[in-house]
Amino acid sequence: MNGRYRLGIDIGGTFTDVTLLDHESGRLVSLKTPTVPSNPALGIVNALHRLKETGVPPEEISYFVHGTTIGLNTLLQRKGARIALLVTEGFRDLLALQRLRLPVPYDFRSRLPEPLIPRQAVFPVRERLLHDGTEHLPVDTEMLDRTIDEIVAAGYEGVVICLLHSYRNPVHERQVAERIRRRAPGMEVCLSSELWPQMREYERAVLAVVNLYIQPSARRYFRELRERLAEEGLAAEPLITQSNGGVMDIGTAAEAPVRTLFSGPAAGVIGAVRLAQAAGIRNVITFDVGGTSADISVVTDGQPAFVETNQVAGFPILMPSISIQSVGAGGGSVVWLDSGGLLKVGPESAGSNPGPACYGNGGPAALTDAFLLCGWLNPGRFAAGSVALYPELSAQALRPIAEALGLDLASAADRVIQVAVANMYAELNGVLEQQGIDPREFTVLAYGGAGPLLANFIAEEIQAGSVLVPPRPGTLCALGALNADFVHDAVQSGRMPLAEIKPAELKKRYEALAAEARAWLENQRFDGIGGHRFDYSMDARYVGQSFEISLPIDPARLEGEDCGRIAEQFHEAHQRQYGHCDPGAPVEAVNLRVRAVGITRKPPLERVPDAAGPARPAGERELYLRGVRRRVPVYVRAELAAGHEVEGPAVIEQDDSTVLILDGWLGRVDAFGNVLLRRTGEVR
Amino acid sequence: MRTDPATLEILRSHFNAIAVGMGHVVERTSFTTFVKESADFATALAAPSGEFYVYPKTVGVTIFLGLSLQRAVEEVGGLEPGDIVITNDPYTTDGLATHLPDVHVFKPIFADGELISYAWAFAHISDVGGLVPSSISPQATDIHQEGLRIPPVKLYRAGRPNPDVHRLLAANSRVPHLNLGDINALVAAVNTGEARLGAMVRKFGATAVKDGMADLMEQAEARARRIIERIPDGVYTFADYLDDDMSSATPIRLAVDVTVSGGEITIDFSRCDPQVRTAFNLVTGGKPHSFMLQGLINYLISADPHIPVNGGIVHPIKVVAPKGTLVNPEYPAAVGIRHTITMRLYNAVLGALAKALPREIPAAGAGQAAIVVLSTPNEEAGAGARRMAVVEPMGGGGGGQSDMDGVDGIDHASGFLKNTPIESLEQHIDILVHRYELMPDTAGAGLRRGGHAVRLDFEIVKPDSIVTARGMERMRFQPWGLAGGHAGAAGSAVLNPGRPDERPLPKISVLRPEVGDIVSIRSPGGGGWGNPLERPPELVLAEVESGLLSRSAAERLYGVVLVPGPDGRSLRVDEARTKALRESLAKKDRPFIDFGSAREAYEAKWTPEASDTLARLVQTLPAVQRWMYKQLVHDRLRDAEGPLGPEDIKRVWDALMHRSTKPKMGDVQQP
Repeated sequence: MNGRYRLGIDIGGTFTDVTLLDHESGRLVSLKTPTVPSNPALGIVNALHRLKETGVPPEEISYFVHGTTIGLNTLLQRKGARIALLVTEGFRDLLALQRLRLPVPYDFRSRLPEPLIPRQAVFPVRERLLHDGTEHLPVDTEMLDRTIDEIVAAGYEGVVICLLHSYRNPVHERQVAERIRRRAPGMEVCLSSELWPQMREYERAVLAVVNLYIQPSARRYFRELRERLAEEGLAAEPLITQSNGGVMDIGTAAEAPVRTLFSGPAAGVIGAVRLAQAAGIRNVITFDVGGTSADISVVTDGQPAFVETNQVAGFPILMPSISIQSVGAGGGSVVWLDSGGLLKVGPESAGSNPGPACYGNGGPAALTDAFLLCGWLNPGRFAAGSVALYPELSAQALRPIAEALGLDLASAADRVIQVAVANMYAELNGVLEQQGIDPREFTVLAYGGAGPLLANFIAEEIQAGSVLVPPRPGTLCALGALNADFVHDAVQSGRMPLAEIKPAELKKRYEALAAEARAWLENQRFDGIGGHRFDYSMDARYVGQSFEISLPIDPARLEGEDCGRIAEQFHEAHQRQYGHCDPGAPVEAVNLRVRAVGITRKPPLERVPDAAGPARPAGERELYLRGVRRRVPVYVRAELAAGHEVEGPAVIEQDDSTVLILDGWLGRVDAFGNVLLRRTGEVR
Repeated sequence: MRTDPATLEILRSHFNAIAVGMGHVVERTSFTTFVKESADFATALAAPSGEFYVYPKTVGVTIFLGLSLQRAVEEVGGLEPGDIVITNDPYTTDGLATHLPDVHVFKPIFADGELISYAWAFAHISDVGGLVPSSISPQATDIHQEGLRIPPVKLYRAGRPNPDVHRLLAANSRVPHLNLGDINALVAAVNTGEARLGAMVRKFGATAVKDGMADLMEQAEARARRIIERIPDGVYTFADYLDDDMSSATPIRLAVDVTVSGGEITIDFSRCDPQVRTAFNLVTGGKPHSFMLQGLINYLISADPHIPVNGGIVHPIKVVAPKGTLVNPEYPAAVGIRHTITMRLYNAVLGALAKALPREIPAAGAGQAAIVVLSTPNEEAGAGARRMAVVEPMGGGGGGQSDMDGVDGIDHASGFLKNTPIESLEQHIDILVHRYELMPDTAGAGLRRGGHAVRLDFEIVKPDSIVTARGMERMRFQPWGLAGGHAGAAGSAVLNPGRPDERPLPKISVLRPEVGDIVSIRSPGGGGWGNPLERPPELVLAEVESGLLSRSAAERLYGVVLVPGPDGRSLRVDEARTKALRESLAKKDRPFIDFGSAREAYEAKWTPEASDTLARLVQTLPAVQRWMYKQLVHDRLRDAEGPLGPEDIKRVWDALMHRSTKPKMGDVQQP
């Protein structure tokens, strides 16, 4: 890499966040420019101009990474392409039937999400493969040709093909695609077997449908972005962040924009992992609280948890992504009384527009108003002073609720916060039970605007050992993106009884997947890859079970006469997870997976100077805290140096957040500027 | 209320976190598909009274929410810290367990020596013995044929496992290790519940926790009352039918009288048919059991989505359920497929409410949850060994409601069902699925139409394959339409559709098709809501374009005339002819509730008055004899002309009673 800087860009609804990393010093600089909704690339250009004014020439930027929500927004707003779907005859309602189960069966109004493709755009193909991939019925090409003509006549922009058992043998999907390309040149075609060949026809179809649905808008945007960047003289090939926490080149992103859907929060987790690793912390619960939600994920022994299927807008997305649970509680969560007079916070959010009442845009009473009324926020310093806050509007909005509760304003605000904390605790507890972890061995890593305000409460509730607040809680996503590796996942589905399949055969299949992944890595025209590795894993189960356990596979075990050692490994994992196993029962593999990781060179993290003396508060503020009014010291984050200690209760103010330290906790600043909170007293 | 509204919300969150967390423990540590994939389990916390004060909405099944541990606690005698009780027996728990595969486990929780709560969990386990593998057979005629009864006994005593109970359980199952895996998951869940509630007591204090429990139940009760107060006072009657009782062609009738008075609601089952000899019976102990009330509970939660979900919701509901009726059978009536009756009670109770609140109640959905199972020989596993797989669970269409069409392919009453991917199914068992698709022209027409039915066609590819489909219903009596909406289509089954050897199949109990045969199962469709002549023509057009509605049905049912558009390909609405047709169709009155032709024909002979009379007369006899006398009366009137009145029934009854020889079971005619 020739240039000196790495540049990370995140486009939000209101602001385009730009983070510049000097990869010699590790110094991070952030700036915000207004997002240009009609043409987001323009917002980036504006940011580049501002950087140029501060002495950063675009030519010096050697690494450009971009987290985009263009695909996600297209999907959520349902503004995607008008496309058709081809399915095996007899299964036309694949998208409507889904997996049946209603989201909330006892609610009369609960419905499955409306399919992205209506029934009249779903066309049957007469063909059939059997489960082992052999042909049962060849493709009826005459019927297919008529269908293609109909699709062309109806003016569809693209066609998704998802035929039964194509994950096992793509021959029919390819044949159909070939026919479409010949008969309707220029028609976009997406094959479910090429995008992600995993078993389960509904999930595989949805993945391909979502992909093609969002593809035109993603492509348009990427093309525009590339042109603009070239005009600005920025030579670096843009990299796009993915749901699996890695980055990819823009070509892959344009081909498979579905890979970007969960990339924003995933990058945050990667940033958290990077910081925690530097701070010597292995077990982390990430706690990212923004305006509308609190996002939670678990990192065990330095590894984020992954899920094989994620959900968005009620659709399953069958591709590995970092496991993140979203709780409908954030700074914008609306405060209200339900029909029984119970005090509720969220899940509805005032968002950023109108925002909480204190923004002055006519918004409702929200959690941020409660923070303000309890004195937790400095109205003059919110979001680095870029957003003015009006405490009197908070008071006005919350007053009717306080009156209904028979409380004064501060007490009511205090209760609002406690209700919000209890909500978050309840959801977080569910996540912990799902993953079966003991929170006492974990550190809560707080980020997002409101994370550092609430993390100490959450840590007390779940009895976590400590809380880590990074130096810039608002830039973790950018930090993650700038530190991410190239990651490519590949899968092969099928039923592989371990008693029958030979290790050599498994090895052959893994190597085929690895070759595909290697080719992808080599295709990433990027010289910053410092090395690579291929992680093999396997989803296996007892024959007859309908759920799988993921096993990491050591390539060395793919030797010898039989798969006995892998079966043993499965029994052990089953024992660990469920408390029992059945060594006599046959085991089968269902999915073979290879993850290729192209390891990028990590820039250093910026260090803060050592403290010369004890930390000194910049002032004092009156806070209402858990029913008690008290004066607490206020520190300025920028003035804190390595080794400084801050005893709770105390507030630390900074541009992008506010840290609240509770009674019985001590904060200590480490060499990277993180504040690590630990309990000084007994567990409450 | 003892607790302020903010604190109560905080306590609610914490209680809920415990109950949900227990559910996740079951999910994570259980073993079998039933529990893991079908989520046939639940967890909750109960107050010392035995009622649940917190019940999770997001994990497990919701239908147990109004039950009580009280009777089970009494049965087991004294409890001490560390005890864990296990039971599956309906008759010694007042229907806490409703059939034997449902194993319930609970643990008392103490604070300073005082019992303050119970942690509870249940799961549907794989096999508890009985006539058939997996223990459920519609044909079982007493509960002892359905497997091992476990009255409430201690699985753990003061923290130590009770090995005698464990051994006894293991010896009475075909798959003891699968059972044990799931039972251990339940034990882990109640232990988690105990530990978490203990932490809560340390944090908030025992008094605050106890007050919170009581207040949450009072909240739920008060809010349920408020919703009931909005229902106009009055008596609302309704009856619905199961097609037959699997041992004769005589329908089972479920009649209810719902009385709304202020904030209270009474559901009277006095006119309900007697308990049957097959496994349809629902044990309730005559108390307001949530399996009878699922429709009403769903209505209450739909009307107040934030109501605290706990047993307080059922406090304003009273029930009259005479002993020996289907909803309060006497020991030893068989209970295995009580879910079938539960689904029809859902329709009956909501049907009555619909008369008071037509805008708030959906029309009837498919009202069945038929589990289609294929079994094939498994030679590799040895002679006689067989492989089994659920082909698909068949629900059907949902009912339309005043502001929404019904759901296609699934009904709220069975909305928890999850289907099997065809790719996964064909890997598991030898089968070739030809079709799994919605069926055109099956939705009940309406301003808001019902949901479409599902059709499943599969080919038998292995000799000696066996198909079962317990729970098929509404093959005779259609799901009713409401407020002018039409009834949904009845379900059906066909062998070899479209082939020369096509023939209709009766309700499938055990079917042994040949290799190459195609079994086609069609679910019922949902009933429609409101007058179809008021459905916007463009919605009718869209449905025709989607292939789910024929042009002829669009004209006949909706009065919408479609003609080819200028391009010759697409269709458009012929406004003038549509207007004229709609005007002429509007002259014919639509019934408020459309029960469909089969029920109309049945009731033209067996009038509701006749059925009521018979239902009350049989109540004078010992419970075990009632089904037989009901059947004898039906047999004697088989060739009688309708309509039958109460006098006709009394005449036949008197003749039966005054016969010199007592009738025997063998006297009953077979269908």
